[in-house]
Amino acid sequence: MKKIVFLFLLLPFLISAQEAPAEEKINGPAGQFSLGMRSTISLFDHQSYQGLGYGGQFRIRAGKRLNTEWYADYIKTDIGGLGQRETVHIGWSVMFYPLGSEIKKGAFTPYFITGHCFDYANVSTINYINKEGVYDSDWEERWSSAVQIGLGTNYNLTDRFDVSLSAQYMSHLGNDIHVKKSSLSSSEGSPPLIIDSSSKGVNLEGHLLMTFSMNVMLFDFIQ
Amino acid sequence: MKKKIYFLLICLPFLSFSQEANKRYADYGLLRMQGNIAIGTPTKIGGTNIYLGGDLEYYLKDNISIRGDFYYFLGSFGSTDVFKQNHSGYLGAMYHIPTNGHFDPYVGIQPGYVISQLKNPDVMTSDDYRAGSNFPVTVNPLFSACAGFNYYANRFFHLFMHVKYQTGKHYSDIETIPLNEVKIAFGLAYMIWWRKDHFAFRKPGMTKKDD
Repeated sequence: MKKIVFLFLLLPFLISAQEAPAEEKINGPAGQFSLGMRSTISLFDHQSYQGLGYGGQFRIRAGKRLNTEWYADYIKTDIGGLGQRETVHIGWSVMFYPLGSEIKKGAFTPYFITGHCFDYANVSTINYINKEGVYDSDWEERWSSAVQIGLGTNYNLTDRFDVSLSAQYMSHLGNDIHVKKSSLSSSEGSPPLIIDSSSKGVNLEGHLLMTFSMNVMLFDFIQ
Repeated sequence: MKKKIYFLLICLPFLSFSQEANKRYADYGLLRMQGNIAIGTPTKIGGTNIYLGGDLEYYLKDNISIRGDFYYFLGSFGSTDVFKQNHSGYLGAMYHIPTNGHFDPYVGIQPGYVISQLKNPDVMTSDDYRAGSNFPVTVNPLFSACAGFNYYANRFFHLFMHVKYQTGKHYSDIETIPLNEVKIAFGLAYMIWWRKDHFAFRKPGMTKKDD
C-alpha cells in the first residue's frame, strides 16, 4: 500500500518529466534576434495627405506565439504642395501569432500587432512672401506619444528570411499639429498654410500606416 | 557505322549543352556585383538623368536574394535639369523566377532613400521645369519595384539588365518635385561563390570540365 501511495506521490514528477521536451519545443523560437528594414506608407490621416517613409527595426522573439518589434521610421508627407510634414516614430510593438508561429520556408504567419511609440512631427510651409515683402516660412514642431494596433503577416522566404506586411491604425495621445489652407491669397502676405498646434490632450484622430519590411534572423540569444 | 559515330560526335556538344541547360546555375551562396552607367527617365517631369550605378546581391536560396543598389547622380539633360544632387540608395529582396540553365530573370521590390538638393535659383534658366532653391540637401524616402535578368556566361562574368521604377518626392522650401523615374542599367557584372566552406569563382561541386 505504501508503495502505491509513493507512486502516486511521484506521479506529478513523472508528468513533469514527460512535459519537459514539449516545453523545450514551445520555447524554441524565444530569443531569436532579427534585423530588418522597413518602408511605411501613411495611407491617410484626417486630412487625406499621403506620406512615404523608411526606417529600420529589430525583433526579439519572446516565445512561441509572441514576438516584439523595436523600430524607427522617418516619414515625409506632402501637404498639397503648400508645405510638408516630417514625422519620426520611435517605438515598440508586441506581435501575437494566433494561428501558428512556425518559421519555415513558404509559410505565412499572420499576427495581431499593438504597441506604443514616441512621435516627433515638424510641419512647415513652403516659402512665401510675407507682409514685409521678404521670403518667409512658418513651421511648428512637437513631441508626443502614440499607440497603434493592427494586423499583419510574415511570409518566410527562407528559414531565416521573411518579408512582412502590416496595417496599423495609429492614434496620437498628445497635442497634434493641424494645418489648413489659407483663405487669403499669397499677394496679401499670407502663408499658404495656417499651422495650428494649440490642440491638447488625447486625440483619437490618427493615421493608417501600411508597413512593408524585410527581416533576417541573425542569431538566438538563448541557444 | 562510321556515319553513326560521326553523327553522335557532332551531336555531343548539344547533349552536353542540354545537360547544362537543365541545371540551374544560380544558387545559394552566389554573390554578384556590378558598377556601370545607368540612365533614368523621370516620368512626371521628363528629361534624362545619368547615374553611376552599382549593386551588390547575395543569394540566400536559389530563387531568393537580398540586393542593395546605389545610383550616384552625374547630371541630367532635357527639361529636368533642376537637381544639384540626386543620389539614391536601395535595399530589397528579389525573387528569381526558376529556370533551367544560366538565364536568371527576376522581380523584386526595394525601399530606399534619395539624397537630393535643387540647384541654386541663380543658375537656373527660364527653360527649367521649376525654380531652384537655396534649401540645403535633404534625405527623402523612396519606394521602388524592379525587374531584370542575369545571364551567367562563365564563372567570372555575367550579363545583366535591371529596370527599376521608383516613386518619391523631393522636399525643400518650394513645392515638392516628383522623383518618379524609370532607371535602366545593363552591362557586365561579376560574381563569386561565398558559402561557409567555399569561397571561389567556381560553383561548388563544379570542376574545370564544367567551365
